[in-house]
Amino acid sequence: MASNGVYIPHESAKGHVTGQAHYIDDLPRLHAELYVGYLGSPVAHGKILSINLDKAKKIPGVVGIYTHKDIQGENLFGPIIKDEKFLAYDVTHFLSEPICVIAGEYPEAIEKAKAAIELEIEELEPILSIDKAIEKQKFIGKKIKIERGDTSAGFAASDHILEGSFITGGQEQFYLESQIAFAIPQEENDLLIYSSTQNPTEIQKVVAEVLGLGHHEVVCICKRMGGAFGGKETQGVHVALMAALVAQKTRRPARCGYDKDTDMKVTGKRHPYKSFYKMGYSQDGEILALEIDYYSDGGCTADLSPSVLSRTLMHTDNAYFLPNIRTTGQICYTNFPSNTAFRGFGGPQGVAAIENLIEEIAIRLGKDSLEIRKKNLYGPGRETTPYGQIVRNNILPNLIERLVTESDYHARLAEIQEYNRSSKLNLKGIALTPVKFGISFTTKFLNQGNALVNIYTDGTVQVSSGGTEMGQGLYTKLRQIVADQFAIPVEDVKVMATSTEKNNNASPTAASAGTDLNGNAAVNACEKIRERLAGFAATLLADQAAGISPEAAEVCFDDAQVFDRRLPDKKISFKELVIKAYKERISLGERGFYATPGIDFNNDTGKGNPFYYFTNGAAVTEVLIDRFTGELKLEKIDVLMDIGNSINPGIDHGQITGGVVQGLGWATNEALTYNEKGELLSHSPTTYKIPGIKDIPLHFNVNFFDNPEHQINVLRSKAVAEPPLMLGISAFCAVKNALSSVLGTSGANINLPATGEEILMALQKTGVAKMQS
Amino acid sequence: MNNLRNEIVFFINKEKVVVAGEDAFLPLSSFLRYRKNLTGTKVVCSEGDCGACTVILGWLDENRKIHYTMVDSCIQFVFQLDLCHVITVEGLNLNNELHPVQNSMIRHFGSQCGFCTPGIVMALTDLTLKQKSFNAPEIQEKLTGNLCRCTGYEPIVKASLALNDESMPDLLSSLDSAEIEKQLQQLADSNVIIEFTQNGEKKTAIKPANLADALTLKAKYPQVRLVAGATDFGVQTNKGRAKDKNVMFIAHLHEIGYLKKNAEQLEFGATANWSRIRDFCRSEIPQFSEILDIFAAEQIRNAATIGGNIANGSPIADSLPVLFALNASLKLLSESSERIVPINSFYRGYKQLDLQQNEIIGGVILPLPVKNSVLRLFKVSRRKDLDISTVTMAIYLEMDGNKIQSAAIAAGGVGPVVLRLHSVEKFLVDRTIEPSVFEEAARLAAEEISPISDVRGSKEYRTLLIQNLLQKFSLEREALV
Ligand SMILES: Cc1cc2nc3c(=O)[nH]c(=O)nc-3n(C[C@H](O)[C@H](O)[C@H](O)COP(=O)(O)OP(=O)(O)OC[C@H]3O[C@@H](n4cnc5c(N)ncnc54)[C@H](O)[C@@H]3O)c2cc1C
Ligand code: FES
Ligand code: FES
Repeated sequence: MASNGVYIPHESAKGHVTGQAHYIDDLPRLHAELYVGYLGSPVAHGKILSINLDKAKKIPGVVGIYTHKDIQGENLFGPIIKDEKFLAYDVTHFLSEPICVIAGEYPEAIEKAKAAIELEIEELEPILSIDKAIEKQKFIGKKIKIERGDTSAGFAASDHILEGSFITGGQEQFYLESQIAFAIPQEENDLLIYSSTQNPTEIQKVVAEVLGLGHHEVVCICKRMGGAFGGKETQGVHVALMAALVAQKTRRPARCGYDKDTDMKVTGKRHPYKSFYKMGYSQDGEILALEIDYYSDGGCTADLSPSVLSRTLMHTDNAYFLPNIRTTGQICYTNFPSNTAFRGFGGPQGVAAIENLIEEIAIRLGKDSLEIRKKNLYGPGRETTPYGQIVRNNILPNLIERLVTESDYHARLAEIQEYNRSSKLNLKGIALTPVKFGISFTTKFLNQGNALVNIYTDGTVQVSSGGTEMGQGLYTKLRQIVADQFAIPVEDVKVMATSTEKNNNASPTAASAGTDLNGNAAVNACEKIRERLAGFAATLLADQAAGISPEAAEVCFDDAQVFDRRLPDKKISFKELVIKAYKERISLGERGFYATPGIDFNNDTGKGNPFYYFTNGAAVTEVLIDRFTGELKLEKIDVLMDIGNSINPGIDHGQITGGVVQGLGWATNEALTYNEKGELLSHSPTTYKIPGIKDIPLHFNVNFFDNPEHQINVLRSKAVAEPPLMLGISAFCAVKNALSSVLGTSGANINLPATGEEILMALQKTGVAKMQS
Repeated sequence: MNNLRNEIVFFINKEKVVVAGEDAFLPLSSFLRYRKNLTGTKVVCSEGDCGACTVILGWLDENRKIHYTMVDSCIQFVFQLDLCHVITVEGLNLNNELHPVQNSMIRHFGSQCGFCTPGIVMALTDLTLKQKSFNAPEIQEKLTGNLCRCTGYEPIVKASLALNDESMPDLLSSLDSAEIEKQLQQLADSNVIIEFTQNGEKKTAIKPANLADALTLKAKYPQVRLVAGATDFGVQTNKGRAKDKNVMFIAHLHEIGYLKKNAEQLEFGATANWSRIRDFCRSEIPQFSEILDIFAAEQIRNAATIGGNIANGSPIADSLPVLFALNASLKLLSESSERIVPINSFYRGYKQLDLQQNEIIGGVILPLPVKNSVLRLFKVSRRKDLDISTVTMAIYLEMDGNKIQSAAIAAGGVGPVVLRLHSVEKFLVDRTIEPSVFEEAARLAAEEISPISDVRGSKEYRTLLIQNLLQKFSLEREALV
């Protein structure tokens, strides 16, 4: 039986529930293994005057302390722009930026060494906000732009113009397993690195280049991550470098992992944004012109910020046809750890910007925001995005209609309006927001994948690809895809740890494209093997007497057996075929490759077809607000997603629930607070509040929308990981909807996240938090 | 003094463990992972806020019966575990079969990255030990202390609901709980003192056999740091804010673990934990139980004590406003004396207590609200559950018909200690509960508080909250009439 479309449990589920699935800190300590820590900059921005290690080196248990001087390769790396130093030596750019790496026999030695290192540093004035960076014109990279039409003409034709600014806050990935790597020296100069990373190839490359090794001297392996969400796309590299440096210097195994507080303080997050907008719209709510200038907080290096920013511009349209539009983007340089990838990758900031404005239009016109959304959707004659890609198979209008009906949106809206008229203590709000998310890396060359498929003589199969497993279910889907290719049970297929030794030059597992790239590559490998096996099986299954000559095209793989379509009763088992093929010296292994077809983007013109297809969805969220405290409760959530054919509905359902809830956290409650020195105050779950189980309403419906017209991609599936996150924005819009019932048509200008404080302060501004009875 | 033992004895799953020396100061999670290679227990935060490290802990109750509850192993230290039985996720599969909780989690896609999963499995297993059936809100309640970043929880709720039809294996007998209980009983009644020198520093962990010995030892070693549930101590230690070399564990002292009531008052022993107090107060002061419903999460409430909450002296401790408003008093015990101190005069400044070095808090006396009175408690926090308060408030009004006869209003999070809002109290006397009165009360309140801005909210927000809570109170009352 085919496993495609079947609820097959996560391939590591048994390991998860028994605690036997290994994460890097679970690997047994090795003989002579060292602990690794580091001393970081005590200020957000400073000039290093001197470093004296003499005292620290004498502390018992300290094995070595290393500075930039000990780096044998190049002390510089970066995924897009090479602008990040591994160890700071002249100037430091953020609080706790690594300066010295310390190797110790036990953790206490490292703590003592940190205190004993004499570091003289002159504090410089840091830039700790987007506003300050704009004021000082400190940017990373150049300004980017996507535009079309004539916004001046659009404004002129508009009944209303709305101008203002909007802030979306940063967000901590909050993967449960903090950054960690384990480096084990091998023969000669070789290093083996276990890394919790979405990108083993990047770890291999950066470690090799910084340590002065060839890429071929470093192997990076990742079996699984305890969550990643983008936070381990590039930023697994620091702990890997520290462990690798110690391993290189001492020739001893070295493990380096952050505790949660350190992890949250020193690694990058979702980019905070500030945007300035000017929008023109008609009396019936059609957007006629839109200008938005985005400023993202990039932190102190480029990291992935340029790609994140361009995705923001590409998602400002979300589901809407915007005839006259001009969006620009600049990355602000600030003295924070470099911000990085987080599920959605700039998309959420763009979607939030437009959904915030749509909600404002509705509030200001006194209309239902659903009506405004519907009016502006892509549709016949309005199907080209601002960057020139045609929106094909545009199912959102139908999807929204179905969700409106299934969620009983109109009746609930009426009830809520009635409730708000009479309730003195609480307010309710509701909103439906859609998402249309472009699938593919917007950097063309990353859209490639390779996979290795090996069949063993007992008929079992190992597959490995450049794709990593962070919980999203890639391994489970690969297993299904490969099993179905040979029509064998999934139990006979194992997905091996991701290793640069097996799959070279892989792209990060990101952009929701893990299954697309690696699944397609695995199919490619399987097809090649199957072709050989079919050719060979044809000779075994032929029957000269029956007039059936060997014909590979007639060979079928079904139910762990192989037969010729013309002689279906004559079967041999897959296992038998494999051993026979082996003895006939037919190769039972293959490397597959895949490159996404038909995509490209011109960064200079801001035009192109960056996406292979779009994943669509929508959510209705209802909220309850305490008028006196601003406290927010999510009451109901209904989600409908188009993800094409679901290879594993259990996995995909979980991607949707998980993604939506992360989006809800970002939109409503996760706030990063810093002090005036640039120190993160909300650096652990005590002070940084991700959604808990009670924050999620029991009314949380998730359904798939059937989309038979989607005929491309592996098994006609669609990527699912990122798009649902943006549906969390429905809660933000629902808050605005609730506020509008007391703030009236002057708008409900709040920033994201809509924390209790943000909500209460908005109510307070108009004096309505104080209830006049 | 009772006889002396110099080692800590406890069980992990079926294994007897004896510890003497520096491992006594390890968090249980570290001991499991790095000493016993039981790496199924995960560590994320080391501060009780994620539940990844959840284990089931059995301890001898006052009748010397093992009583099992779930706790966070990152803030339980080995020196607290003498005569305990720890069940870890590995303990579920000693017979190589999956527990129904595990099967259900697998079938319903309850794990994605799997890092939170062992903790969730342990919490749900604990639930199945206590209840045969449970609904979705009960499941949410049980899992409040377990964060999951991947699943959005919905699949986990489904996996849990599906357990309602399952028959459960007898986990405790499979782990020889009865036999373990017997062995532990035989070791009771000893004073345990662990002493060792680490890197030239002398360290001591004491577990007194009973209250009298505890007071004697406290007089002898006045510098020793008391540890009850360790939910404050543990966080401070793990985050490097406390570096105590000498500790005395007291949470097992049943003499001060009592819960008593009569017509006028409730009495809580200092080592009574919040889970017990929450249940105990449900009929007498349900408002207090409702605050305790959103006090941390079950793992914490099972360990955390009222004595620790009071002694920790945080101005945002959730138990304090009600104790202030109802004029509770504390029983302070020492080897030679006992004194009663009203809680309203116990705090002399930020974390400054009227507590001598040889004293321990023995208990709390909480007068019940009088018949014609109104008591309303508030806790506002960023997240409703498992969060530290931004602002707390207790409003207690004794009524004479429609008129307020006396008022006691206590507010937390708006000053270095919990504050009584005296000018508001005075103003309210002889007035009625109506919005216009409370609008004025709110104005007065704003003048009496001195909040600061921090990670949990700005000064302005806190001020507004205090004012609004007073007004909300009056409107709620109005809605009731
Ligand atoms: C995740 C988490 C969530 C929390 N949530 C809340 C919350 O919602 N609301 C809230 O108010 N608190 C909360 N806390 C704080 C903590 O749980 C409480 O303050 C708890 O009541 C402390 O009790 P304990 O027994 O654990 O104290 P311990 O940590 O054992 O001790 C705390 C302090 O009190 C002293 N002490 C303990 N007992 C006595 C005694 N009998 N006599 C004298 N001194 C004593 C100790 O020496 C120590 O200094 C939370 C803590 C955590 C880790
Ligand atoms: S590790 Fe987070 S509660 Fe223990
Ligand atoms: S499964 Fe990843 S945190 Fe819960």
